[in-house]
Amino acid sequence: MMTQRETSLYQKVVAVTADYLGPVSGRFIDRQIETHLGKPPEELTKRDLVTLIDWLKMVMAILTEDHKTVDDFTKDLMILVNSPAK
Amino acid sequence: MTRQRRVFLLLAIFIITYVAVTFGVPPDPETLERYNLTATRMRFLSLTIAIPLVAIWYAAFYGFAKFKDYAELIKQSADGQAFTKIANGLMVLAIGLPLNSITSAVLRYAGRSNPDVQAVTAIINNYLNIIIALTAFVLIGAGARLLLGLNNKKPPLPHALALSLGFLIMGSFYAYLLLEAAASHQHAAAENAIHDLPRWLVMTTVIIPYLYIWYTGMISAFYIDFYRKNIGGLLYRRALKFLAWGVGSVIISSIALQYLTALDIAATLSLRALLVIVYVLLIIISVGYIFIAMGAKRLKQLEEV
Repeated sequence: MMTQRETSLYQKVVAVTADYLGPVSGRFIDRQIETHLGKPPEELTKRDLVTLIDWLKMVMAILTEDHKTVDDFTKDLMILVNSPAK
Repeated sequence: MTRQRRVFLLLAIFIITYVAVTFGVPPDPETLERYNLTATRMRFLSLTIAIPLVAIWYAAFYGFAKFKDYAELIKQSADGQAFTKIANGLMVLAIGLPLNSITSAVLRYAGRSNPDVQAVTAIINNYLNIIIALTAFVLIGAGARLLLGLNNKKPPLPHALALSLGFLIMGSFYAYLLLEAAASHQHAAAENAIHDLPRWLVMTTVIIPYLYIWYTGMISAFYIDFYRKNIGGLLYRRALKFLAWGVGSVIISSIALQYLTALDIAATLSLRALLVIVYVLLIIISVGYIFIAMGAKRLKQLEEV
């Protein structure tokens, strides 16, 4: 069952991704969570986030050869890992 | 049959029909005389025109097929609906390229075979061009407006005003030249029969539609470029760049080609100059479609990976 905290985490991940993928971000994150974590996107937890970030970093590296962009994206997502749970 | 196969089957049919029409009918004696050509030289010239023309059609069909594939992938989303309309408009423009060539050749031959219908066939040819362009740009315009609505920003007023001013100058010049030709009945050949129509008919069925087509085309290119510059997403914008440049090139070059055709510049230019201008515009259109294919491929990757 969704909690406000978990929904907020998924939305935060989408918001970070939107800086890089714009309107595609929601569809992109949904697909990565479903494919690599095997769960519905809205059930994303903080524990899943580290694994998800590893996958996202790999996928981003396929989408661009710009290492700085990939590193910046990963750093922005890691902030969510380290942020206190609300 | 997949969409790609249907698209290229259609292209193959157009190519076969074009070759049959171009090389199956005897060359126009008036054209031979005007440009001082023999029948053999005319055939050779037709071949040198046909080969790059077919290559250009291929690029156009390839481009819109790739774009349509991408639009189909995201058709349920808001941006997908916009891109679907734009893809459909580009499809009409792409199909219009061989269709215009084939119908022009057929109607010209019909007019030559029966001089009584020469003026009518010229007028039909003109109106077919208008119908194709109108359909294409109505679709592209609808898609471009949807894209603009996805942004919370509006284009800056000075840019919109500059575009409107440019259009006003271009459109006024075109209307003046066409109405002048209609008023003075200065025409050397039946190909200019559109000028013999009553001025009110020229105004309502030729000038106004073309002005609407060109304004819609120009504003669509402007909106798509504005969307590209202002949408979020670094990688998305990079992928969209090729698509936007391609769509802009196709729109602007199509407008330029229609403008030249509508003003009937052919009668005033040498054969070489005419071919150079037409080929430059057609090459820009095909490069535009190649950019569209490249952009669609990158955008599709964002949806599939």
